[in-house]
Amino acid sequence: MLILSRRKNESIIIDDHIRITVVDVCGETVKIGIDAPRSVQIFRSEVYDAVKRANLDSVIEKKILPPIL
Amino acid sequence: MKIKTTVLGEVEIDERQVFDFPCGLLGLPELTRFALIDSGHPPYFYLQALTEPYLSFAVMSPEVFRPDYRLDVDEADLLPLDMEPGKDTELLVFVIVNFNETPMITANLQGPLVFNKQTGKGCQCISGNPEYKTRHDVIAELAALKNKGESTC
Repeated sequence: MLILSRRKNESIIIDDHIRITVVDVCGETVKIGIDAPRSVQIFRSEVYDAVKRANLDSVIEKKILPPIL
Repeated sequence: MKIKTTVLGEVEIDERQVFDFPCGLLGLPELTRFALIDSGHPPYFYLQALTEPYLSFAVMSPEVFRPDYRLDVDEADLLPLDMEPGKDTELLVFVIVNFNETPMITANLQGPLVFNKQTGKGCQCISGNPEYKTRHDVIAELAALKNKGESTC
């Protein structure tokens, strides 16, 4: 993993069109601003991981659909 | 057109049942074409990957057990649907159901699937509603909903 040190209000550029700025640092919390094209999907990683896990776990393994109604 | 599926064998589907998912599903970005097929067992539909016969999901409307379900997503999250700006578009919303851990049947309210019938495009969003999780116990919530209905009547 590439590790860069940044101070408040400093930023990094990814792939010419995504800018990530450290907006504020307060104790253990870092506020991050992201400027990216609207088509770029941005997720909090814990949420992304949870939905990805749920997707992979939900691929149908048995042909029987259990009734709920 | 005819497609091959593990769950239903070979099935005949209409072009209008085929949806492009430009971004795929979360964790499965390479799957970009799906068919939405009525399972014949309400409330379930199948979301069948066109290129992978063995890869399908059971999906249903979240309103089956959450009549007040709201997407709560940003406008930008719906860009893959190619909606016409300023025009009201009827969107179909489904959630993925997991019954691989029966007797538990869970539904993913946090990562809803949205379909635009006009453009034939679909996408998976992440709902901003903190109440929605990836594994809601459908049977328990249905029972709670029924009890609530009975107590207010």
